[in-house]
Amino acid sequence: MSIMSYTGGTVLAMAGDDCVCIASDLRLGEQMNTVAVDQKKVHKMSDKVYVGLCGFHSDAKTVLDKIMFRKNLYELRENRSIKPKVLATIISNLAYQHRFGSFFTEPLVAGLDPVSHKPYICAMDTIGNICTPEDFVAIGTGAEYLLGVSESFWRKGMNSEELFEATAQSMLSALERDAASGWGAVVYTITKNNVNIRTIKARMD
Amino acid sequence: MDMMGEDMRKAIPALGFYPQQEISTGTTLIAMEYDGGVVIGTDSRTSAGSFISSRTTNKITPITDNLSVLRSGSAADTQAIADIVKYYIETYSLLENEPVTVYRSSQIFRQFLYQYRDSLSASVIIAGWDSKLGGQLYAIPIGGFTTRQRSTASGSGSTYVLGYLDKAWRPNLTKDECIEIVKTAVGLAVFRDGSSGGVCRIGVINEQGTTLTLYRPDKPGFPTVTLPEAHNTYATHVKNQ
Amino acid sequence: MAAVDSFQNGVLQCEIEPNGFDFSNCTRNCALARMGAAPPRLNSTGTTIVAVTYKDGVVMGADSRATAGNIIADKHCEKVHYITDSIYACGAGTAADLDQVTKMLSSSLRLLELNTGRKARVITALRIAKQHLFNYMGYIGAYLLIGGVDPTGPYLYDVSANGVTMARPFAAQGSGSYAAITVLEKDFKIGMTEEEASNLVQVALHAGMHGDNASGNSLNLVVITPEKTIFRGPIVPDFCNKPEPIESDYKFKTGSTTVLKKKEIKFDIVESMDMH
Repeated sequence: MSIMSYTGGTVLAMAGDDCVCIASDLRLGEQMNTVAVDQKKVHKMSDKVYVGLCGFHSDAKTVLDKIMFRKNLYELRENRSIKPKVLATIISNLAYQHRFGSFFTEPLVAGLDPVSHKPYICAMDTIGNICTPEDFVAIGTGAEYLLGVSESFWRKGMNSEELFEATAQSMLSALERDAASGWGAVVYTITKNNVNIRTIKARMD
Repeated sequence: MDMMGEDMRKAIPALGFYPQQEISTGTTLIAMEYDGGVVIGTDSRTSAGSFISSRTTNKITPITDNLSVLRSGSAADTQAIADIVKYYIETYSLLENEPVTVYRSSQIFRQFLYQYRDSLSASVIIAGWDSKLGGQLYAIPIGGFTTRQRSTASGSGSTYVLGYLDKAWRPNLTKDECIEIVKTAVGLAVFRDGSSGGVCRIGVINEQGTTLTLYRPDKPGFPTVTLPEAHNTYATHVKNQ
Repeated sequence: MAAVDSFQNGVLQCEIEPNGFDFSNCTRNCALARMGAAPPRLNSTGTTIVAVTYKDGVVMGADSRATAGNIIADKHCEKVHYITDSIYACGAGTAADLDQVTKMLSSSLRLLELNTGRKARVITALRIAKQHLFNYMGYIGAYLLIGGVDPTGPYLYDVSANGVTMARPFAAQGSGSYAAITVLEKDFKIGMTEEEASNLVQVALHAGMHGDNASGNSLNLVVITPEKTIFRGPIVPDFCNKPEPIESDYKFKTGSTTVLKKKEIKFDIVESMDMH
């Protein structure tokens, strides 16, 4: 068994018209044994920038601390709030620093540029290769299911409510087939004016 | 990360390390002294496993106007060694304001090849001319043992032509005779050795400097081998055409 | 204060000023590997990359598929990397390694250009790449085609992860290179025109994208001449187009998803004093 699916968990991010959605499941497990049912894999970095961390949960926690440290240091040194693309580069460099002994976690960044409100989504592998598609990215144990279903659900130019529905329904479809994720999901919808955090109804098994 | 020698060539999935089959020059290198210089000859094939990654490689790497090195073994290792030794020799000749002798150059090569013998797979022939000893050849196989030779061959193709070279060499060869012998030897080796092939590169190093000539198999001058006719394997009742 | 300083010099130094690789997880990861845990899948650019020199320049091209195992991780990834205005590199191998190596190359060559006040030469890019890769004994899985034009002419070099370099008139790398090289071997001629060269690169890429499952989606081209560098792409060949369904409507009505809990963070910044 791979370490990447030891604790389970899935994160999906989709980009819309001046908005992004980032969703995560809530399960934390030890292989097939569920340990916690309220474990969000999405973390707030600044008002409109969020990261998702999937894979081995211990490493995800360690990496989150390291990301926070570097992000805070950047904001102190530069005296400006972080842009999602800059955060992605910081995380990528952090991951690549551990190229020969990597953390077993895949990071994902989703957010709006604090100035231009341009949506940004990206996912990385464990050693920091950034993928920045225009539509959606998925990481974690359910990524394979998500990529398939999102390919149909995503459309160009969705507004924040349409985007929320597409993200939520993609997530629910993936949770239907991924045994390592589940126990509900939470969807963050980030727009110019607000962030909506919605816990959605899902099967609880 | 305790990996030395052969271990480091193995795939290490935890590091995401899946080495390609190493690019190595399964080679034919021939070199021979004559009165007043040396003649060197090589094939031009570089293979990665069964794939020919280059059919026109130059395995004769010039170091100075009067010194070249013939490389075989791991291409990465020999290129790196040639680069660093070239840097040393250039520095020495600038500092001392006179050319570095062939013997001393061979000793600089030896130093690196011996010091890193555990992690390198490199075998070279150093061929050059200097005013003290004239044309000289030094062979350094894997391990770093250095010897001066009058006639030498190395690489996978050498096994097929060692006998021929022993027979062909004699004292006081002229340049043209020597070129002919080396060229024939390369032709014979390329014919039999699957890891050698491509074109035939011949170099002459003497007081005047280095001249390199290239012989392509589709142009005249390429050494050819005429084989005795094969027995046909038709059944006896089939008319032989 | 002294306590903070010694603390900084110790644990936090590599976070504050990252310098080189961090091997602190190696022992754990090797132990896990020995326990039989499968390693994580890395993105690789199972690739077709092609480059050709012509009369006065170089044409380079790549497909745009990045794979992680059998998953297409990225459909439109950029494999033609910028090094300088007149030097580009196409990469095959481990995607993260390629990103970082080309980033390192472009920054060191930019510094060189600023220090010397001259345009960087292609051979310089080659040397830096080769020495870096040889140092890491092939563990950095970057296979590059470095091409460009400098005041001494057009050049194309092939660099392997273990540090082997070769000068070439035409080259292909990656998992689709076997299909691509057949096209090049057949149709390459010395002294082609720009149009002939870029057509040849495209046909070779098509062959690679057809014959290799790890290559596809679209292709990018860069044409480097002494005067200018033209970037073309993404070009989607006919056989890479997704057949669009005649009718497909997955539009969900607002309210389709049952929301259990809702929290809203509102931004009401009227005026920002941030310096952006």
